[in-house]
Amino acid sequence: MKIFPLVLVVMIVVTADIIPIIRKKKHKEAAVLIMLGAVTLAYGYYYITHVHTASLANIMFSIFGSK
Amino acid sequence: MRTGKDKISVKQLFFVFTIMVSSPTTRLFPKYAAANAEQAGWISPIISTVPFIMLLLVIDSLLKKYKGQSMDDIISSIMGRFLGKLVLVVYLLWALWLTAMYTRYYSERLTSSIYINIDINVFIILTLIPIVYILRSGFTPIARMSEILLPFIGATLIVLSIFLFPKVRADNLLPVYTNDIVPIFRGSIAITGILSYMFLMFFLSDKVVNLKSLRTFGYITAYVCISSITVVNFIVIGVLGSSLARRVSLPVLTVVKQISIMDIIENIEAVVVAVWIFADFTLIAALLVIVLNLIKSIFSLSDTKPLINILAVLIYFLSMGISARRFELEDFTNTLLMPINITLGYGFPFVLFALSKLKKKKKPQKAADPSR
Repeated sequence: MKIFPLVLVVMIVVTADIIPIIRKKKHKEAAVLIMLGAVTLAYGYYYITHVHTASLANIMFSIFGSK
Repeated sequence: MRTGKDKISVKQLFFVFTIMVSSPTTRLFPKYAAANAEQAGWISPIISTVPFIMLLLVIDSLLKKYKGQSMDDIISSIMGRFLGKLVLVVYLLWALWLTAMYTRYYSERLTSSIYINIDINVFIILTLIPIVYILRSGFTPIARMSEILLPFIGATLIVLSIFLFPKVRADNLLPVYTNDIVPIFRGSIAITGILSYMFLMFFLSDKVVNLKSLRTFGYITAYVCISSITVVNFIVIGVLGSSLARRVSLPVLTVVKQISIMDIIENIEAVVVAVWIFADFTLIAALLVIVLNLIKSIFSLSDTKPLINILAVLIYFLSMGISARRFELEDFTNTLLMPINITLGYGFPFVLFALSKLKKKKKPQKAADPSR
């Protein structure tokens, strides 16, 4: 997957979900949605740029120092 | 007994839990037990009964003391607002990790068993789309679906066990000496770790009614889970032997492939694959609901439905990036995940229970003050 489809998917999903929330004036939900969108974009970017080496399990191994 | 549209019964909650456990039962337990306890691995599940029952009693005690509250509210009331939120964030990360991990395992298991030439992306996307669609209607459809699925899964286990029983060799299961006690304990760690998901299930306790019968259904669930895991371990180790069971990537599938009744009934592994798909679907959906509930508690939201889609996209990327290879993920499960499961699934609830008891002792002193 390339960066452009990632950004496109996240933008579409966030926009589609945020419009009804803002209409209902649920600003806290909208903020959390944007935050999750940002986390998805950040992690998605990391995954795409490290596609063959990306490994959360390895990060966990290094955190707990068990490998 | 259900009173609301979005409510489920304790029985349904335990049905979902039993289905959740059935997924690692076929993937992990026979291998883990055979690797640690060899021919005595089939006894390992029995050891897990004690911590599981203790966990049930702790949860029951907490829910009785804090009536009408979900587990996240109970944590916040016992530990305070800030520490409570911090603990909930840890549980959120754990639940998120488990969701991504089981999504990856689900697709890896299908691609390594029957759909060898298909990319894992396909299965991840094909699972997440229906889950997202169903979860828009809440957790109730998943709970009701599990009521239909569990008898089907149970019947499959019984029928396959009957077919495979003649192939079980006593020398693969015996002898079991007193020297095997420590290996049996080691072999039970994975089962104990997975059964700790029971605590996660009670983050949904605000959706559950009739919590009075928690103990009764809890004991039944313990009996069903432990006996079915014992049967699976018994059959797999009994048919393959411990040295083969620990090395085969999918021991249950390998055993089921051996079924042949008078050369008429053969190749019934498709049934096992169907059970895997149902079980993993329920597991991933239930974990996703727990994640949503935890987000709702942490950020004090009124509705989490708008977060389902973006969470599914995040789960997709997390499941793809959780490990570069399947072996790495299995290594992680065997070495790091089990201690994490036991700490968060058993350790913390017991600490919470102890703290709730300490709070109980303090209350009468406060009540006594005004009368002085």
